[in-house]
Amino acid sequence: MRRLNSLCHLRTDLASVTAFALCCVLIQPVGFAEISAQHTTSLSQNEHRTRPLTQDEKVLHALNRLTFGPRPGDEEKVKAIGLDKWFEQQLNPESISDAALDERLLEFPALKMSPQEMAKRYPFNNTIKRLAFKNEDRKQGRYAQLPRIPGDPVSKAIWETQIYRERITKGEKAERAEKKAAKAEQSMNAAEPAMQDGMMQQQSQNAQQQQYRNAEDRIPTMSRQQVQEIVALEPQDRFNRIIAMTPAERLSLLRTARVGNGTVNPIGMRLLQGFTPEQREAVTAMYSSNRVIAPEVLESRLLRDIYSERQLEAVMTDFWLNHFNIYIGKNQYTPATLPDYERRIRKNALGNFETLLMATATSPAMMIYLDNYLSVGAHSKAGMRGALYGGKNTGLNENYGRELMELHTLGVNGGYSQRDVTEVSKVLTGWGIDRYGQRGSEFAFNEERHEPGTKLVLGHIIQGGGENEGRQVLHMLATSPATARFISKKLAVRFVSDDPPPSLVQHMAKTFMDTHGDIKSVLRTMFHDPAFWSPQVYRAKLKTPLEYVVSAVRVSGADVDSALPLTRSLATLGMPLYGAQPPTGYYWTQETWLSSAALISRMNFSLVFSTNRLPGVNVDWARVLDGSQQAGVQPVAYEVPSGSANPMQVQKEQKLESIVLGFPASDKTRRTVLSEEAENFATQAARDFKLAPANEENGDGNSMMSGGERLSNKGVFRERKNNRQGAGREAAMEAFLQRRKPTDPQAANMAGLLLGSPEFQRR
Amino acid sequence: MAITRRAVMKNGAMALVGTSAIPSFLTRAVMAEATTAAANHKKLVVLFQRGAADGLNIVVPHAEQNYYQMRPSIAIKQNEVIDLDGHFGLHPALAPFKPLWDQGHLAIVHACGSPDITRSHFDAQDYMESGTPGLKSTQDGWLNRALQVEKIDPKLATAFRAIALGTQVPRTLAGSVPAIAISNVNDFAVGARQKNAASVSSAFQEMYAESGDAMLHGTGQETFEAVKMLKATDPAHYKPAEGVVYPNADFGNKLKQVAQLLKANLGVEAAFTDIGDWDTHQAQGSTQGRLSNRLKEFSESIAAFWKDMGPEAENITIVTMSEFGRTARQNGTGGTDHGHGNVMFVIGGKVKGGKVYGKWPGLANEQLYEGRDLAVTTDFRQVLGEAAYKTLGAQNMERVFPSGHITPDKFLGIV
Repeated sequence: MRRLNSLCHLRTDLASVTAFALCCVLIQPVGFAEISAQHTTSLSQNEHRTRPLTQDEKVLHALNRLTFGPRPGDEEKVKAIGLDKWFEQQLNPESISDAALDERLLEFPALKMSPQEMAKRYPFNNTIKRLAFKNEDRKQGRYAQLPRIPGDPVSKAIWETQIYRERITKGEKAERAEKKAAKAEQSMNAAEPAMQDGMMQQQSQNAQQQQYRNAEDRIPTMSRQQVQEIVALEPQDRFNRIIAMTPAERLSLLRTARVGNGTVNPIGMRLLQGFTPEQREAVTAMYSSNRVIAPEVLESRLLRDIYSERQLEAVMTDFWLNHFNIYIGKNQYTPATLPDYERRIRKNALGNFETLLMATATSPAMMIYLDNYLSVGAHSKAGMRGALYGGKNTGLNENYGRELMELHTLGVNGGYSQRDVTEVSKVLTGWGIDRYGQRGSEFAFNEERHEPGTKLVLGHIIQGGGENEGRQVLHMLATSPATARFISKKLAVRFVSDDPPPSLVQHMAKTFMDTHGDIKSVLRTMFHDPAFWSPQVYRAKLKTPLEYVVSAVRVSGADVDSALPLTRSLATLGMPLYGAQPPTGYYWTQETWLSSAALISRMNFSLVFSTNRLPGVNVDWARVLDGSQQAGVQPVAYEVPSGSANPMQVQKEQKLESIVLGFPASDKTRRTVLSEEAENFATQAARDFKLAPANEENGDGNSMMSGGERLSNKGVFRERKNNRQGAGREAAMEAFLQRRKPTDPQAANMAGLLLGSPEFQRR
Repeated sequence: MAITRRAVMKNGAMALVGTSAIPSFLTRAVMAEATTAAANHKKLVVLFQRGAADGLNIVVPHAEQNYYQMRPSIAIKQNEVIDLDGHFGLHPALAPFKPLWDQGHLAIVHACGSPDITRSHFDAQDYMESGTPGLKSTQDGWLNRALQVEKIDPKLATAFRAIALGTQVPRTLAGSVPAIAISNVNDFAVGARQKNAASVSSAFQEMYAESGDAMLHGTGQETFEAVKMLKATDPAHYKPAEGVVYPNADFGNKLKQVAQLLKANLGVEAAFTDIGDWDTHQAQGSTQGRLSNRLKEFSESIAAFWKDMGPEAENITIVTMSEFGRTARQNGTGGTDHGHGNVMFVIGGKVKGGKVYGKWPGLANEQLYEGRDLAVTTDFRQVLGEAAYKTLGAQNMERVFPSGHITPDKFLGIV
């Protein structure tokens, strides 16, 4: 099921912040490497090129293929270390310090929580729904399982505010239930201080008088003065004050300050300003847990791709996350499973394939995404019981069984039949999660659901043996020659060419078999194969949108305060992170990404980004130009085109070509970049590049999806730890709020044109 | 294919206009003569339901006893379907289709599908879009080939002969006839909204015009020509016809834009878009739920599109398709797994609607394909072929569906 678009039915709170990245996503066609590929090399600019790569070109090639693109000075560093040694370092990521990235990731403490810790602090919306309408819940006989609100004041504040939000925002149906719940509420909140400002009356009046535009409008606003009083407090006092509020007050404050609803606004920023990351997360989550979890999942992944020194690990993590695709919009439980899923994949990204496969097969994320947690053997205890009592949903589900073979291991022509799909699905019955619908769910094998008896998989008899059956089958699949070929081919398409030479794939597959699936060794074989260095493949791979965006950020040395505008840009460019709905993930071949619409978005992105028009992303071209000099980057030498502007501009352009492209641009590109009109371009592009496709949302009232200005779960501006103190912070924020002007507008415009040029679209 | 896909109007009349907007009269004049379909204003709109829609719950064989036995919790009850002919009935969420059926504009083909037995989404979609089931080496899509059939002067071809709403040109439209993918008509510009002399668009255009990179050069050329043409139609101010409301969701927005492009006299002959999330392995629901929500958006969008096109709807044929059907029996998790035969809708001014076409194979256990799925009695290419033949004038069926043995005598007589 490829290129499904749209997610328009995101329910409830998941929609709140992830939606922008997910909606209107077209995941596109043409995975047919075999089909599309023939054109690649023959039509690319390298058609007739036969001269072997120079040493400099080899370095650039390695950086383009094995990292998310060079940063200023990277080529010089690799040259200093030596290409082979650098590659070996990258193969062993634990040998490389990643302190700078780690510090950035300190902004996301929620992602480091264990599932149990997360469960306590950030409830699922389902849980909140049940608590909000307890009476209805009780009617359905589920009262006994109703979760308890945690006791610590911060978690309690999060839960209670969310419960309150649920009651207020859920329409007429909610209002009816609200009344019923009101009595229970009174006793529950008896200890809380009385509401101030007659907010309750105000609210009910509003409820009658207004035609609500969306659900969030049901929340009464707070007076400006009140908000300002709160904002004026010292951070710790401010936080304490928020915790001490009633749920109703808190919700009004969040709404008035528009915290975490995707807008950039001074009040929201000031409200969160000076908070520790934990405090910021807590206050943001008070509206909805997925205003924290989902955006942080996206943001942290992108920051890693941009800033990790362990670039090959990041590239391979991305490769496997795509291979073992998970769609973040599957349901409301999925975002919370992704931090663990990403860690599993990263840990094994350069390890053993079977271990990696097993890590995905035993992940809650995969069990949920491909429905296996629901699958029940017809003759298992649970299945028999279900049949006996007329249970509806107790039987086999083939989804994971099929994709495991078609997409994860053997490949679609890997020699399995429908019968094998059914048998593998039986083998895997019982593989699932322990407590669905609750945070803290972990992988569990449930014997009661497991189909008893022997199975026949690909001609092998699998003896009845519970969980071990699945392990046998996964071992069989992981070590099959078809898998070795399938994985090797896919890697070669990612790293070498849309149409890799069969001999290269054979060599890699042989290494795969010889080393029992050691990914490092397979990559080493690829790196040392002449096909990797063939002049025909040099600069011939079209960048995917992710590669395009990350390489642009890296080459510009941009400082990313909030990566959310970039994650939204990826959605606009057709490749949102964790946004591929079909299990195929995205394709690596150029036909997938080459179209008029895509090209237009790339050009607009390049200018918007380069000239600092993406909030939260700061590009300082003056610094990049200075820095390049110190790093010993050689400007591209060329004959100055006649009629060129001034020598200063030419000098800058020469440097920029070297920094951005790493090789001389074409004459036409250069003439355009040097044209005097370049300065006006960016303003125009800013109008035409919408962050994330315009899309209205229904239902949950988070109207945060369209318009270039809106973003971020945390009001965009986050200070890094080291400048959290003092007046510098204030000044930095003010500067940010006014939109930083480019330090060197001329350089920014020229760089933008280079980033949008045909030359930069390839790696 | 991309090198030939580039806009070929370079030397045509429109290129003379240069960077400024192309007057729409000129566009119209050029298009009026280019092809038969354009001359007759005929348009073929293809809609793909990605993920394998559950045809048995879409057009429900409510007279089949076994249907209810196989789907104890997800079947649509006899008193819930919108009855069509005593044997079949529409899912209640397809209510917007009923007027079209009554007016004779909507035809249904049931037990329709691919001769290839694959149950892989990937392969099945690929085969349906290439139009060559079982043959992976096909490089272009059936709809593109249908447009190739008629030889036209490349100078007169418009960049908009084939359009797709989405970020990429779909497989269906891949091929030597230029096809344009548009994700949003209003954003389809590079800084071009400004009337400023210094146009970003032309700057980039120059870069791409002389790029030695053939693929990027081709796509770039195509892109900038299309940008100019579209701009001339003032897309930002589009208003659907009086009283027409499209569902405010992805598919509705796409169809609205298809309508917009069709009405703009850009020379569109074939349009393609898709709607996802039909892969209802679990909890697909019956009259309410996941499938129902999908069908509601699907049918409301199409009905709005039809109404929006007004008198022009007469010249339009809409065909819907999905890669395969789903298991006749519900699975263990309140959903259905990958199956075989499915249902297609054909809607149009010239359609002989109000009828369910195709030979019905039955749903008794022994009638099921491989004991589990609705059998296929009509090759999907018979339906697509007829639509392309009669709407686009693509008479060379061997070209459209190579080795498909689709000949006009195999058409069902729908259009």
